[in-house]
Amino acid sequence: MVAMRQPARSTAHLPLEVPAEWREGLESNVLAPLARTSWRYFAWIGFLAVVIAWAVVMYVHQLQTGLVVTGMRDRISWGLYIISFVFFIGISHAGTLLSAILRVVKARWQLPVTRMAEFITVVALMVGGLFPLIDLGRPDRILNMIWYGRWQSPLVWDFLAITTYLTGSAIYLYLPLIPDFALCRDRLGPTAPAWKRGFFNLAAAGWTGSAVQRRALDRAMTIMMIVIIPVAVSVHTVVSWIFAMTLREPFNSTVFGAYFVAGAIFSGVAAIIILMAVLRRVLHLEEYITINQFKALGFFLLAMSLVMVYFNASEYIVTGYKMEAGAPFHFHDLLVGYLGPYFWFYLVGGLVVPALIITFPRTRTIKGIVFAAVLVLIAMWIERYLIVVGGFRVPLMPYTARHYGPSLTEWSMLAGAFALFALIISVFAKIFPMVSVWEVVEHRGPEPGEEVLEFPSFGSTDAQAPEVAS
Amino acid sequence: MKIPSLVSPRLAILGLVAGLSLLAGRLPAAAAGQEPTAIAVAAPASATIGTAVPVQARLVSAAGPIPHASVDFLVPASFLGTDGEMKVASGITDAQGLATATFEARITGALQVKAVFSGDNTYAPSTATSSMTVTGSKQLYVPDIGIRLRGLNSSPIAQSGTVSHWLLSGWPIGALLVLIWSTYGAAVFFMSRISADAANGPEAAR
Repeated sequence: MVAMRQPARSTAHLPLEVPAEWREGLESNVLAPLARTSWRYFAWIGFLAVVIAWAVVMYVHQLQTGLVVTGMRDRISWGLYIISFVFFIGISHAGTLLSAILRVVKARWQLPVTRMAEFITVVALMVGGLFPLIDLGRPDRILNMIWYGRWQSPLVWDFLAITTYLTGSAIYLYLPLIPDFALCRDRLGPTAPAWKRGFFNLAAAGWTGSAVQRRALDRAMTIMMIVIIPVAVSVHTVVSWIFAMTLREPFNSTVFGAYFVAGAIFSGVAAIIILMAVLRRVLHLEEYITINQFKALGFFLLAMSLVMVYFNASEYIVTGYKMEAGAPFHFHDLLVGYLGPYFWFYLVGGLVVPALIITFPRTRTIKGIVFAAVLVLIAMWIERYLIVVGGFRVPLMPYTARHYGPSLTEWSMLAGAFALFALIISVFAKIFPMVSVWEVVEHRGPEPGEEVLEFPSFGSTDAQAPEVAS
Repeated sequence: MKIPSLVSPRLAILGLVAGLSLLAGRLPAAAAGQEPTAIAVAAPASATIGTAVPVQARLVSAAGPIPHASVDFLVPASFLGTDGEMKVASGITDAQGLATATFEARITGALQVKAVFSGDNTYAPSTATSSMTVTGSKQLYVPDIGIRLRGLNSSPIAQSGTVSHWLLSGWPIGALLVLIWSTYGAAVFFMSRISADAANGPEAAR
């Protein structure tokens, strides 16, 4: 816990039912990273900046030379950029969606992690949205989407869906931040630099916690938490239509929309778990983010892995039964051919092993769940590779199927995207409280260590001491 | 669709011309060891776009009809600024040297149908053309589907040019977007009440 100067402050933004000492500790712990920055933070930011700078250099090279510097050619014309676009939009999916659903049903266990989830959505959308621009080769032509757009184009649908989702997610992120900005204004404002003070004043929107304000905030959040659920589901459906609206095996599938939504939630939950573990450790939030949140999200991950198994079975059994033109090649490619190792890693490493890790109590620890989430995230990136490259490899005319290998430029861009993602999260973590303090206080249960639902132990002992650090 | 038969009197004359040309040595020069050949092609004088067009070619040498030979039928085509000929059908000659095939007329206007025998170890290559006119205005690339959504797959299809034009042409989708953004607007309205209360209330924001 970090000792901070305690300026005179209004407590009207918080309810008074919880013990003052506990609330004090929560506020201090959550706000500590905003008040103090170590050299490690700057070193980390510097490292990320170097990676991003390298990606920018490679991008300029691509702009000057053209897309020939990538591994994409006429036969496989979508590659790492579109794979990464789908991946980032996918991990953006779960944050806001999960937060909204759990808020609608008034679940409490997730409150310490809702903000992280909402941040993932906004940041992943910001980063993912860059990839179509990079893939264009001529980014200035994005204006053609506006001047010469056509409703018939799934790309236009995608453009509209993502901007709509990003705007909604940003509003949904900001609303519960208002009382916490007021907390920052009251607790940090007097000692903070002028720009930060001004920012907190502006962002707090004059929040005092009055009944009128609480009612207004409640109404705004209710509207957003309801509308954002169908918007989130529809966005990833629309992303899938970029593929599914083409007459190309294996994109030509009616189940693609739901399949993409399930995959997005699956990878999004994994991303939340990983970010939760990192921020918990870095920001010393072990007291508030406990094994309970990891278990609950782990069980959700387990359920989604089974849903993914179902979708894979549904997709491959139906197309494999009919074996239309192109399907035999694709099946051979996936099962025993060029893409076989990736496909089997995706199935076993991404769906089966994480499910087993979470199922057995011995491995259902924070480290185990985070490891399972890492496997899921890698496997889901590979799954997008299988969809994009696997689809384009199917010959539409009698020619030899082409291979695709991303070039250094494409890998650099991907590294830059991950660095940008980490950089924005790192900077946000210094400006915004990463735990929704007012909600945790307001909805705090009778016991901080309150257990979430327990999974059957299959005869094994499930004696798990609460973990304090992973 | 009726095509003139290559065994009709008119095409018998064609065959005769081909034979005389052969004798006069006006056919493509044959490589050493190859017999010179002549080919004649027959196609309907007119066809409707999107319909199957039957074509027939007759391949002969000085010794008579050439059976079991492959004949290709080509029409002019342009793709991405490149002009050339596109193979649209092929057939194998029978005992009378006749190769019959069909292709789909996909371009309107005057069309030169070209029959090509590429030659082999025994026979020299030969070509012939026939003119026809393709008429009609059928849009070949719009599938006839049951669900129609204005602006999306039914007229008026937006033309490029102005923002308002294409935005307004797909009003059902636009209406859905307006609905979603209106709910955002409602949330922002309630958000503004927070600031308004702070400005008016006793505990005004500092």
